[in-house]
Amino acid sequence: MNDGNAIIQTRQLTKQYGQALALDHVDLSIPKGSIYGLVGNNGAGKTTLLKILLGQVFPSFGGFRLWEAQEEPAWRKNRRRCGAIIEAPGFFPHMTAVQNLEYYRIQRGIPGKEKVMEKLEEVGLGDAARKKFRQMSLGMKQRLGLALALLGEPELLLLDEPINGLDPAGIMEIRALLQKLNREKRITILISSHILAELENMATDYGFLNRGKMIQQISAKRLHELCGIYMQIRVTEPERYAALLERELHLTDYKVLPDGTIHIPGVPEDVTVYGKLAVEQGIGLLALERREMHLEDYYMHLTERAEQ
Amino acid sequence: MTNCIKSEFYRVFQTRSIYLMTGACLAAVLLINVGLWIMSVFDENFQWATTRFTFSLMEGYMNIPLFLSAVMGGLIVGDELKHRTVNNSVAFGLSREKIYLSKVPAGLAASALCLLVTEAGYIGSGYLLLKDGGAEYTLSLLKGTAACAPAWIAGLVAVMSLYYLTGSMSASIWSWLVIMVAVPAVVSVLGMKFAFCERLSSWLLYTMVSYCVPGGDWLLYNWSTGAGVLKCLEAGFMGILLFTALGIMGIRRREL
Repeated sequence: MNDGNAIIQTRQLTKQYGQALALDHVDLSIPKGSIYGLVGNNGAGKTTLLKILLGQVFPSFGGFRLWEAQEEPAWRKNRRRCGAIIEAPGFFPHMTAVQNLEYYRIQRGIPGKEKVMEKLEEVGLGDAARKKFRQMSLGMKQRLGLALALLGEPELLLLDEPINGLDPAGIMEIRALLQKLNREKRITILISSHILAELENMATDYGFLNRGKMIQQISAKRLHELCGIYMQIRVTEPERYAALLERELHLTDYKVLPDGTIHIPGVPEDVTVYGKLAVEQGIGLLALERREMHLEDYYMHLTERAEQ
Repeated sequence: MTNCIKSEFYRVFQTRSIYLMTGACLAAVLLINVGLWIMSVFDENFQWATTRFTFSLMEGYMNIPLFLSAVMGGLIVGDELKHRTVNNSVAFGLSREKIYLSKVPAGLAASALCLLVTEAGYIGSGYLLLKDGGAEYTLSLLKGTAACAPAWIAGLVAVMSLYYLTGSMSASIWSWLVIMVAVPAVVSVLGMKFAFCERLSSWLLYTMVSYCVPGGDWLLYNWSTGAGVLKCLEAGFMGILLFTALGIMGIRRREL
């Protein structure tokens, strides 16, 4: 279990609650310096995975590496280099934003009282510093959670649905902040979400979880190649046509789906070339369409395939 | 560990309920002495307006602080499993044992504040408003307080431990009542028939702070003798150790 560039690496990580498998032998690798988007529907196991990494729940089987640490108490030591928001941020309701952060600042032994206000300003909560946690809106609570996550100048952020409850402006603001932290401070970010659009402009790597299983890990670059615009072709003899694509047009990155439909990424200058190829070789052309696949479509295809 | 303890002190002393509870306890004991004083003002023959009576009265209710220790313990843990504040500490890499143990000194400090303010107010107002009945009653009250203090601390630690074992505040309070009150009551009744139960009962904390027998013109408590004081202290400290161990076990096993 050692991918040198990985800051987190899980191996066969499994969590069972009674009869239910929340995580099913998950292998995951998060490259250092990346923004890793952990994508999955509600109940896919995202929160459980993060909770295991943070020591809040215990794995039933398998293990993980956090930097070099492969067991307690080394995990605990390295968790001090992390910042996290898991589920809804947890704070003492009767205490103000400043008091809550001050409590954790003292607990973590972070020097400098001014750090608390600095972090509140950073997440846009400077004006609400004296507001009690129970009086805060969901968006403000999320921001306070992020301020706590950033309090110890972390090298790794683990964020579970961090923009829940934020308004559109807040989402953009937090996204920009996370990108800035990643770019300027080289903070690795693991961010989970069931809303792909949240991650689309931010993540450098993706992991897709479905029903506790990791169904794919992919870089954003590769994902954008696979998504984006493509040609969809339906012919009477897909296998023969695929062979012709390779021989005549030197194409290799096409895909033949189980129903015989052929997908070719991108759109050529002259789209008739695909039609001509079929007609000249006596293959019946049933459909030739220009299509665009969004990340959501890709994920849906992926989960459908996994379900099958 | 020092940082953990410091943060708990910071939090506990930012909690208004702690001060409200201290104020309520002080108000309650002041009410007793003020009530006795008012009675003596309106009735010249009223014989109970003395420090002897009021301090002896309080000595007979050493089980009340045991119940209050459960309330204090509840305030100290602050329902943090529900509010998920403990999750943040675990996520930061603090050991669960440290998290639990750091709450005990803060709880002790808050309880000591409450006890000192209440007892000082009680004794002070007694001397200020009532007829001095003799120093021996004050000393007896103070001796009783010192002897029962470990049992009260055990009560405080117990509710905190039961909270991490059961995972909910209401379940911890109910289980505390069963363990600390109902079980000793049952064992005490069985003690009338079985010698073993009688011996066991004399070591249980609730019995320890409640037990008394008539002794001449006043009541004799467990702490009325030197050996009794020692037994009270031993039982209290054993309780503290036992419940601390249970608390550590509870927080270690709990999934957050």
